[in-house]
Amino acid sequence: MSFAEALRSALQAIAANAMRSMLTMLGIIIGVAAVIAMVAIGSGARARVTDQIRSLGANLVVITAGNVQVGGVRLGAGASSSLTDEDARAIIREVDGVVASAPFIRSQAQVIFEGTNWSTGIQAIDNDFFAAREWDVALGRMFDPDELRRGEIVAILGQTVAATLFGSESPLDRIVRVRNTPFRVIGVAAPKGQSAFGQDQDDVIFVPLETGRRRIMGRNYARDRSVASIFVKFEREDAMANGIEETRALLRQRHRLGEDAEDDFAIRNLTDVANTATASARTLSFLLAAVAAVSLLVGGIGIMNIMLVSVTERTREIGLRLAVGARPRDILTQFLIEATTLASLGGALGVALGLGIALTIARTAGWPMLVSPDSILIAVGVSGLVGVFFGFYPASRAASLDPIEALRRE
Amino acid sequence: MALIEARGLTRIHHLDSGRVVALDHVDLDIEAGDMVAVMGPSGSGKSTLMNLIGCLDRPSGGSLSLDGMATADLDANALAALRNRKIGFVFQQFNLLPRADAATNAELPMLYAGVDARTRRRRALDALARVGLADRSHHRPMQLSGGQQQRVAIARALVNDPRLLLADEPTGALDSRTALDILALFQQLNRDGMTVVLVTHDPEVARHAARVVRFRDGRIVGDTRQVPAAADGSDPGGGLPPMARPETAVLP
Repeated sequence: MSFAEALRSALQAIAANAMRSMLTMLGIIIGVAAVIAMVAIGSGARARVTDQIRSLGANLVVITAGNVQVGGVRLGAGASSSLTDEDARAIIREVDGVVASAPFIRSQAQVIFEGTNWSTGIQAIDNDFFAAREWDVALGRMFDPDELRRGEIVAILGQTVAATLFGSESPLDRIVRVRNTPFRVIGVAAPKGQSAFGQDQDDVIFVPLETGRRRIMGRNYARDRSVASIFVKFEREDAMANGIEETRALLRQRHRLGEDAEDDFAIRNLTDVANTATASARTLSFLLAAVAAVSLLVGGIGIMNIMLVSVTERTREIGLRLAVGARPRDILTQFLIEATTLASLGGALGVALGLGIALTIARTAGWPMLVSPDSILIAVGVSGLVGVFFGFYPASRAASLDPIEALRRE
Repeated sequence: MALIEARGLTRIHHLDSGRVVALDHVDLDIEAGDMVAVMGPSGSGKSTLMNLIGCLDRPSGGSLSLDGMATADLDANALAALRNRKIGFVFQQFNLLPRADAATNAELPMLYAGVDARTRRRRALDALARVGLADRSHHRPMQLSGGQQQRVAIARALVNDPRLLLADEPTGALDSRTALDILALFQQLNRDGMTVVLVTHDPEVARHAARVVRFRDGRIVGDTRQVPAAADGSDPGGGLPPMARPETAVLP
């Protein structure tokens, strides 16, 4: 009997017991759906995290002034300005593996160009900021050392601000007003997109640190050389744990904190924040993998069970086929193909269900829906293998039937 | 050389209750073109003989050759091929596949003979025409009468053009009128040259064969030639009760 005929006969047998076949396939359907959803969710979440890390800048740590420990009455981050430019320079000088140390101050202000008025974030930075955030200037240039040192009144616009104020025109060398100070635009930053927390990172104006201190920020910053935060970028991820400890020790020493004094700054590893999302996606993946394995096992046993029932029910048919010239091998093939078809069909339905689940979760969680054709092929292939594996015993029982006995069976 | 040659053919079943000699040193020749009834009560060995001739079983002793081929040494695959090509089986319960139509049922043996689909269909339709069911090829067994179902089964037995038609109580599930139709069909096929072996316990069936071999306790107890009763009613002797008909003892 040719493969096509065996397949047709298998499909007929499956269709003849549609309800029973459907219930039998359920285990495989759930198992495969879990696999597909798992892979889709796993890769979707990974893609999103990778994206976030890329937009944040890899191996990045942020140090904020003030104590942000929860409990008691504490000042919020940035409320006391214990960090200085000097701290930032000391970090890059003395801590191993640091590639950029960028002090900055953040504020909110109105920016005005001609008739347009826009409320945006002002970040007072030096050029290390761009290195730390893996950010670049799309148009114009970064600040030059003189501008930074003297605190000249120049600005680099984020994409959103540039688009809002200037539309398609070039903002270079135009004057925008922030807090009544006329800033000359020297550049436009490259687009950065949303942050991990859903903020538009391009809605920003960069000014030299010194300029920000004098012209925009409050008196706290103007009085000394303090800054609100420092971005510290490490060269490699595995150097970060040590580097963070060294940084902490260095800052405690520079701030002359006693043995029992608490830190007057806080260090957060931003990669960790993003990695938490990966970890939870991984947990979900493991859970689904477990569900998939158990379902495929149970589904396989279900198929074996129903195939044994089928062999018993069709004993006379088997006897007849043997009598008219089927070899035991033909019978084995027929029932193996039937089990495999049942399982593969379950696999295909499972793929459809899994895609539905993955799509729903991806929509809900807002990450990209990533289903590789590979995973679909593998899922259907694995369910087919489950069919072969669990169909073999019933099929070999069918093939080893004695035709005389089989024909006599009622 | 006879189509079937049994020499000292013995079949012993080993059951939990002990050893049962189902067939005890049987010598039997069946010539090609003959129509033979194998008779006997249940347990007489006639079914065992049928299974051996049909290559569904292997002898415990002695030899059996079918169309010149000794069957004792053949493996399962060779026996399957032999059944497929040399023998057409007809069963009491028809054994049709319930979900397949008449033509598909008739095609079944050709599936295992590696015949292509188009040839299969053509030969199945030819065979159905031969048994008078040309217009029923798309009916399923449930839509056919018992006699028609048995005709489909006979068509199925014919499609691979076998040397031997082996029928096990072919009229056992049919009413007497239909049974006569089926016997007439066998006689027609026999006239066309097909060797027919009918296994039956029913003297009324055996009447229609040209030779009757009687079994009891695994041995042949009678082997007679007779003028077969005509199942289509054309034979003048057909009305007589079977026992009153002249029988000629040939063996032993």
